[in-house]
Amino acid sequence: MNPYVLSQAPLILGFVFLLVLASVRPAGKESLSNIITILSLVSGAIAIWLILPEGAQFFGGAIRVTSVGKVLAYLCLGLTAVALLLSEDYLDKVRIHGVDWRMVVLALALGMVNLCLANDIATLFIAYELVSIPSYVLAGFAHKDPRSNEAGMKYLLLGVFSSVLFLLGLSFLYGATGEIHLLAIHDKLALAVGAGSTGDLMLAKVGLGLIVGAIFFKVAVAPFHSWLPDVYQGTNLASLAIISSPVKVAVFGMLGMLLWGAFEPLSDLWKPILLAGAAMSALMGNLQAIVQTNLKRLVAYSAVVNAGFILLGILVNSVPIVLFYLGSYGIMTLGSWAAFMAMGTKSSDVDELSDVAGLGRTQRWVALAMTLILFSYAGIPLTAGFAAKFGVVLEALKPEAFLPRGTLPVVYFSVAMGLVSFFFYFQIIRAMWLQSPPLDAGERRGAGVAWPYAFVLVLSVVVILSLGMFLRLPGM
Amino acid sequence: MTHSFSAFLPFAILLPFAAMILHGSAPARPGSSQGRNKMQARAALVFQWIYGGFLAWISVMAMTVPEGLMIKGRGMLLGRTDMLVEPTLYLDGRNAPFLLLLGLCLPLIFTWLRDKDGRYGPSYYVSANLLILSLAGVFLSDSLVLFYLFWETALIGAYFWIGLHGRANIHSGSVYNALIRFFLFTLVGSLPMLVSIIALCAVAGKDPGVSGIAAIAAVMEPGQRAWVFAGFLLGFAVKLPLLGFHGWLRDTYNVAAPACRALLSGVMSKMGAYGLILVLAQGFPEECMRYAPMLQVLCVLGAVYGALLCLAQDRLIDILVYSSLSHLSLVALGVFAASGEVTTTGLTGAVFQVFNHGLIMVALFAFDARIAVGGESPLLSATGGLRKGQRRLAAVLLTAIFASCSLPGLSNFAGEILVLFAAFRSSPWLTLLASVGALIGAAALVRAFHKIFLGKRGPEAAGFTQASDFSVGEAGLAVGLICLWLVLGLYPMLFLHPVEKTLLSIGAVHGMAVVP
Repeated sequence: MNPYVLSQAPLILGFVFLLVLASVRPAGKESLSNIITILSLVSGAIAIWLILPEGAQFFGGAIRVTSVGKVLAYLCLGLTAVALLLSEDYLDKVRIHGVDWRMVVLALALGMVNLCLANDIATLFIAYELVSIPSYVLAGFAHKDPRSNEAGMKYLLLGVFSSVLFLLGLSFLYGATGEIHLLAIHDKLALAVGAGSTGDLMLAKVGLGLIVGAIFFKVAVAPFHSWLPDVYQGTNLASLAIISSPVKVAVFGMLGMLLWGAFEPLSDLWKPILLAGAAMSALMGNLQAIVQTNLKRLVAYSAVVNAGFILLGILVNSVPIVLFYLGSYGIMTLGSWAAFMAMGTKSSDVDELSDVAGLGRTQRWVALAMTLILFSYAGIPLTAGFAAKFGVVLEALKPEAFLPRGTLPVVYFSVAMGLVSFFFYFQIIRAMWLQSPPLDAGERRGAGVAWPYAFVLVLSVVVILSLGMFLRLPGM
Repeated sequence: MTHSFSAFLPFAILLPFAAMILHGSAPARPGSSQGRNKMQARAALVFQWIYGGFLAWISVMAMTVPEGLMIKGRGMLLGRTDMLVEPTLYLDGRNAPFLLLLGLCLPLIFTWLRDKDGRYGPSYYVSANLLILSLAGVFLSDSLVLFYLFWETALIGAYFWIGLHGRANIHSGSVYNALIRFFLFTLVGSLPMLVSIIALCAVAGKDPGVSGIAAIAAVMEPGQRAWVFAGFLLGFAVKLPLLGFHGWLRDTYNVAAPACRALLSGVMSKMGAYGLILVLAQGFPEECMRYAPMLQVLCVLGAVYGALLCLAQDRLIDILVYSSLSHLSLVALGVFAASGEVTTTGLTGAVFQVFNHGLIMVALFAFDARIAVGGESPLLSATGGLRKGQRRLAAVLLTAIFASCSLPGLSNFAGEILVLFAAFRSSPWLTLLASVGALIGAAALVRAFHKIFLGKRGPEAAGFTQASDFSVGEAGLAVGLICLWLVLGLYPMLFLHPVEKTLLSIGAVHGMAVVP
C-alpha cells in the first residue's frame, strides 16, 4: 500500500465517517462528530509522523516529503484539532449543523496537509483550491445570518480572484520552464539565470509576480488586505478559528517553501516584494486599526501586522524562526477566539469594545488570559509573541545576513509601528480593566466558562508562557 | 568569585512578587471594603519597611564588598533563536546607589502616604508591587533581555496603577488622556531601545549584558553604533525626561495617586538616569564624546526651561513637577559633561544627584499630598498661612525645599557642585546658564512655600480642607531623612568613596587617566 495514501487515510476515512453519520443521524448528538473529527486529525498527524519518510517522493514526484513540510503539517493539524475543541458549544449557539461543518473542516485539513507536501504544479494548485474552497464555505456557513453571507461572498470573490492569479502564474511558470515538478523548475530557472537568457526569465518573473500577488491576497498582506476585516467581522467565531489560524500557517508555509525552493534563483526579484509587503503591512495594518472599535476587526488588523512580520521572517531565511512564529501566532489567535467565545453570552457574541467593558471584574480569569494573549500580540517580554518578534529582528540584524538594501529600515519601521499596535491592544485591556461593567451585566456575572473554552484558554496561556520563557518544546 | 550574599539578589524581585500575589488573593472577609482596604494598607506598610530595609542592607553590603555581588541563571536559548541568554543579576558600586534609593523611598512613601481612609483596594498594591519589582529588576539586571523585560513591566505596573487609581482633575483632563500619553511616550522610547538591544545581541551572538556593551560596541561599525546609541538614548531620554520628551510629565503626575506620583518621580525617572550612566556612558564612550556638546546644551536648556516654568505655576504640584524636570536635566548634564573627561567628577556628581534628587522629590511630593484632605495640591494664589495648622509639616517641607535648593550643608549641594564643576570644564557659559536655572528654580520653590504657609490665611483659602499635621512618628521619619541629608552634605565621601571606586572602572573602560 502506498505510504502516502496510508498517511492520508485517517482524514479521508474521517470524512467518510462523517458523511455516513450525517446521513444516518442527521440531527444527532454533536459530540460524536467532534470526537471523530479530532481523532482523525490526530491520527492523521501521527500517520504522517510514522509513515512518511523524509525525502520520499510519491506518484512520480507529485508529492515530496520534507522535514519542514512535515512540521507544518503537524502544526496545521494540531491547530485545527484545538479549533475543533472550541466548536462544539459554539456551533450549537449559532445554530450551525456541526456534522456538515466538520466535514468541510476535514476536507480543508486534507488540503492543508497536501499543500505542505506538494511537489508539482498540479498538486500544488489542487491543494490550494482544497484549502480555499472549504474556507469560503466555512466563512459563509451560518447562512441565515446576512453578515455571514456577506462575509462568505466577499471571501469567495477575493479568494477566487487570488486562485485565478495563482493558476495564471503557475501556467506562466510552466510556459517558461516546461516543467511541472518544483525541483526541476528550480534547476531550469537556475540554468536560465546563469545563462542570462532573458526571454524565459521574463515569463517566469511575471509568473512569480502573479503567484506572490495571489498569496498576498490570500494571507491578507497589505495593500491586499482590505477584505480581511470585513470577513472576520461577519464570520462566526468557530469558522474564524479555522480560517485565521491553521489556514494562514499552511499558506505561509507554502510561500516559504516555494520561494526558497523553486523560486530561489529569482530571489533578487521576490525579496524586495516581501520587504514592500512587510513595510505596507506594518504601516496600513497599524494605522487602520487605530479607529476600530469592533473586536474582530481589531484582530483582523493585527493579523495583517503579523503577516508583515512573518514575511520578514521568510525573508531572512530562518526556518526555525518562521515555524516558531507561525506556531505561536496560531495558538495566540486560537486563544483570543476562545476568549471571545468565553466572554459571549448565551444569546450574543462580544462584538464591540463596549461589550467587554468591566470584564476584569465580572470574568476575572478570562480577562487575565485575554490580557496575557494581548501582551503576546503586542510583544511584551516573557511571551511567545515577544520571542518570535525578537527572533525575526535578531536574524535580520545579524551582520552576516545577506539581505537586500532597505531591510534594516523596514525592520526598524515595523518595530517602531509596534507603538501603534500597543495602542489598540491596550484599548481592549483598557475596556476590560479600566472601565466599569455596564449596568445590565447581570447575565454574564458569575456565569461559569464552558470547559472547552477554558481548556483552550489555559492551553494558549501555557504555550505562550513556556515558549516565551526560553523553553523549547520538543519538535518545535 | 561571587560573594555568598549574591544568593539574596533574586529576593529583591521575588519579595514584591510574593506581595503581589498575597495582596491580590486576599480572601474577601466579612465587613466593609473599607476595613479590608485598611488591612491591606497596614500589611503593605509592614512589607515595604521590611523590603526597603532588605534593599538598603544589600545595597550597602554590595557597596562595601570589593567584588560586588552577582548571580547568574542557567543559560537558556531564547525561543527558536540560537542566542544564549544567561539571566544575570548584579549589584556593585555602580547600581547600588539606585537600589539604595529604592530601598529608602519605599518606607517613606508607604508611611507618609498610607491609605488611612481605606480608599484603595487590592489592585492598588498589586500594581504598586509590580512597579516596585520592575524597578528593582531594572537596576539589578545585567542581561539586556532581562533589563528590557523589567523596563516593560514597569510601564505595565504604572499603567494599571494610574489607570485604576488615578484621579482626574480640571487642570489635567481625564485620567485616560494622561495615561495613554504617558504610555505611548514611553513606548516611543522603549521600542527603539529594543531594536538597539537586539542589534547588540545579533553582533555579539549572545546577550552581552549591561557590562559587556562596551566590548561589543567597540567592534561595531561606527554608523551602526550611532543608530544603536540613538535607540538607547531615545529610551532613556523619555524616561528621565529630557527637554522635548517631557510632554507626558505634568499630566501624568497630576492624575496619578500620590504614592504613585512620588515613586514615579523619585525612582522611575532614575531608570533613565541609570541607562544614561550605565549603558550610554559605560558602553558608548565615543558616541557620548561626539554628541556631548549637543546633549549638554539640551540638558542646560531643560534645566532653565523647567525653572522658568516653575515661576509660572499656580499649584505646588506643578512647581514640583517642573523643578523635577530641571534637576533631572542637571543629572543628565553631569553624565554628558563627563565624556572624555580625565576625572569621574561628572559621573560621580550624577550618581549622587540621582540619590539625592530621588529622596528629595519623594519627600516633597509626599508632603504636598499631605497638605490638604484628599491630597489636592494647594493653589499659590488662593492659600496662605497654613503653617498655623501644620507646624511639623511646614517645618520639614521647608527643610526639604532648602535641600532641593542645594543649600550648602545638605547633600544636594555636594552633588550639584560636582555636576557644575564637570560642566565648567567643557563650557563655562553653559555652567553659568545652568546655575541661573538652578537659582530660578530655588526661588520659585521658596516663594511657593512663602505663599502657602506663611502670611495670613486668605478668604479663598476655604477652597480645600487643610489636613491634620504630621504625627510625631511621621515627623520623626522626616527628621531622620533630614539627618541623612545633613550627614551626606557635611561628609559626602561616605557615599562617594565606594561609588567612585567602581566608577573609576568605567573610567578605565574609556581609557581615562585617573585623577583621585
